[in-house]
Amino acid sequence: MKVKVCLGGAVVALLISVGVLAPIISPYDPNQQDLLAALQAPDYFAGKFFLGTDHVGRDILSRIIYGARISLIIASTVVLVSGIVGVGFGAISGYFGGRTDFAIQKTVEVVWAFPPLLLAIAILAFLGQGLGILIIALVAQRWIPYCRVARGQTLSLRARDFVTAARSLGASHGRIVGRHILPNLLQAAIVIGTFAMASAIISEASLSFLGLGVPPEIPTWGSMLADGREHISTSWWLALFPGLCIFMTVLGINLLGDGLRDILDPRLKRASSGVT
Amino acid sequence: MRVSASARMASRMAACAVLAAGVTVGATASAETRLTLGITSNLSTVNPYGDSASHLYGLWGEIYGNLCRYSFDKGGYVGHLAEKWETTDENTWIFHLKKGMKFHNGTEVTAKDVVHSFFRMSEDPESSQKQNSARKIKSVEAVDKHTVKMISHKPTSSLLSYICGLWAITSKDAYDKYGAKEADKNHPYGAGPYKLKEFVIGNRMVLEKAEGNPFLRPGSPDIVIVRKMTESEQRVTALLNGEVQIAQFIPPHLLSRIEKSKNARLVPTSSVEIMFLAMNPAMKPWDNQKVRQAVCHAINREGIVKALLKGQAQLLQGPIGPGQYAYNPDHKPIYDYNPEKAKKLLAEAGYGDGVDVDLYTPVARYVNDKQITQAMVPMLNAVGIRTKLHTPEWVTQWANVRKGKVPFFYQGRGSVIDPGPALSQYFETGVSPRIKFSSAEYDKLMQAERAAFDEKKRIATLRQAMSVLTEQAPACFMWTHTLQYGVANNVDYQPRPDGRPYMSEATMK
Repeated sequence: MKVKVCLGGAVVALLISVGVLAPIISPYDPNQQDLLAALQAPDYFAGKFFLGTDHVGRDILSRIIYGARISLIIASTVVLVSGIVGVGFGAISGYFGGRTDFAIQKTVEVVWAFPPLLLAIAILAFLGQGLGILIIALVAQRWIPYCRVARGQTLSLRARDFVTAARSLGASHGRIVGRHILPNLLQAAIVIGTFAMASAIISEASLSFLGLGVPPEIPTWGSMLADGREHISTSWWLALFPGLCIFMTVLGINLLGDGLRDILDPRLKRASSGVT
Repeated sequence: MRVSASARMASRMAACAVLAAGVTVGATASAETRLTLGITSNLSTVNPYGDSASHLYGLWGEIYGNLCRYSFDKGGYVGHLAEKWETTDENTWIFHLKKGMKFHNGTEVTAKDVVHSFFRMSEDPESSQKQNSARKIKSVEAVDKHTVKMISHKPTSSLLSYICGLWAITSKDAYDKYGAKEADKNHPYGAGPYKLKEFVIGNRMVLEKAEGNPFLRPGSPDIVIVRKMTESEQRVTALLNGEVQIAQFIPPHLLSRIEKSKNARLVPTSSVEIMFLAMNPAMKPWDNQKVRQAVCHAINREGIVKALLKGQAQLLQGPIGPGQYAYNPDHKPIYDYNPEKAKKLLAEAGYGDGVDVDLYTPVARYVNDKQITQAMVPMLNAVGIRTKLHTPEWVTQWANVRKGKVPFFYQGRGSVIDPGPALSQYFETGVSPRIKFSSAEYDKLMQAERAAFDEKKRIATLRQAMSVLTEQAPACFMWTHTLQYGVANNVDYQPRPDGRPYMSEATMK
């Protein structure tokens, strides 16, 4: 369990460090072109371009470093916004019940019916390309898992003694939800968030690969992979390095999520200690 | 269950018969020659008048036949379904059809089919050729069974450029009997060397040899499959695997893969497709000539040709280059790569602090299109034209260009043998909405070139019009490509500079 958390945590820490320090550690501007140095192979020891250059002579390493930043921004924003929206609606739905619950849950069922990537493609096709629009497209369905889990937990929490006590002391609905219910939903939200982060990175890469993600001037691993596809038989480094980055990041985040779930889920804890 | 000896014998004989039949069928199948062509453009519609794209004109020509075509060997227009033509005055053209030409259903091609084809091109609600191919012609009438009279609105010396290799001659009988949609889809009787066997929009077109057709050559493939393959890696891999026999437009970075192959080779052709960056003056800041000229000075075309096209292109100093009709070798280049001049022009235009623009490029429609425009972005940014690149799918991009909705875009115009029709289509006032450029001086010169039946006068007027166009810069003319085709070693094929895929000209070894 600890190994998973450590490994995953190390990858996430590396991703955050690289993303935050991108302007300092990146050897070149990621969009700086040198047409005469196009498609140079990686030179790991003495070369000007450690991981080689792309078809217009941009440094692959610099683009990967800045790509980490974009992946991090997109993934963390998507997780944060989805979490706030999903947990918020879930708590309201579970706490108030009745017509409110019915309306929210029907909305959830309708949105849930769309395949996530297809919905994102439709939103991007309709609203156009852009970082903000991409985040909206990815959030469009990712708030639902939070909502469903939060609703289920709220349904059980609202019947608990501490909620009844708060209500009998005259606490408002807002105070009960905000002070007594939401803090109890956070553990589950964190576990969902780690998995959602990995999924958001893959979705962003998929959409960028399809040319529907962020505009071409913003370096992302998905768009680098798409550019590399045209050169895969002659200049392998264009596709390999961004592909490896996606793979390692998603693996790391999943390991972290897995480890966190093991730690935070009391049922698993009880099962592992033999308590039933 | 017991089986008698005679029954066993009978079953063995039956099995032998089935086997023999199978061998015969196999032998027939193996004798059939099949050629697959990988193309980069879309197969958008089964209506032969429904799109205006170079490759489709060629494919429809192979099915339906044309009145005439351009011969690069002879350096002029030659008859296809028409035997000859003449003008009786500056507005009247008489075409004499070849006798005995048959549609695939056995009926003869007559003058009424030509009249009908003009009717469809100009009146079909789905026609996208009326603006280009049909608009110069006022009327078409059948004089007799094999004679067609065309009357132009105004004297048009370049009329053949609007007709030859463009008009598909479709059957009036099929149209009358089935209606346009049904005739195009299920009864596409033509007089060309191939019958349309299958058409899957956006995917493939299957053609079958029309036995006995006079346009076939010995060795023309029995079956031709045209497949849309936009990814260049996909086309090259398919060629090397033997999945396709001809792969269009191999980009420079993949040439070595074919050069190393024992099964295929590269066949180059100097394309007459002109590549340009179009700027729509109906939208800001492109209404300002100085901004347009600044773009032309901002782009390092030599650098792009050297680095991204590996020298596989010829720079244009005006709309056309060497080998194209009315090219002026004495024309002096006016747009050198000069970022300082570009900045100065931008400041003079009132954009000293720079200007934000959106540049659109198709992806994988032209050789290295996305890569080329990606390289242009920092060049434009460097002079203060802050450029945001958009990379829509070709289908979307092309639809928007045709509606005049795209402000700034990378584009090619194929089949520019005689530049008159192409330059009229894109730049003359009101002809097509693609660029919405309007210049009284240019329009007057274009009208004058069409009216000039004296060749020297026409060439001089065309050159003057092209100078005006270059100066006023509704587009920066970039280059013409040396297009490389990958061709399997068991196929003889010389691609045409105009990009028409006449597959009957390919022969199987």
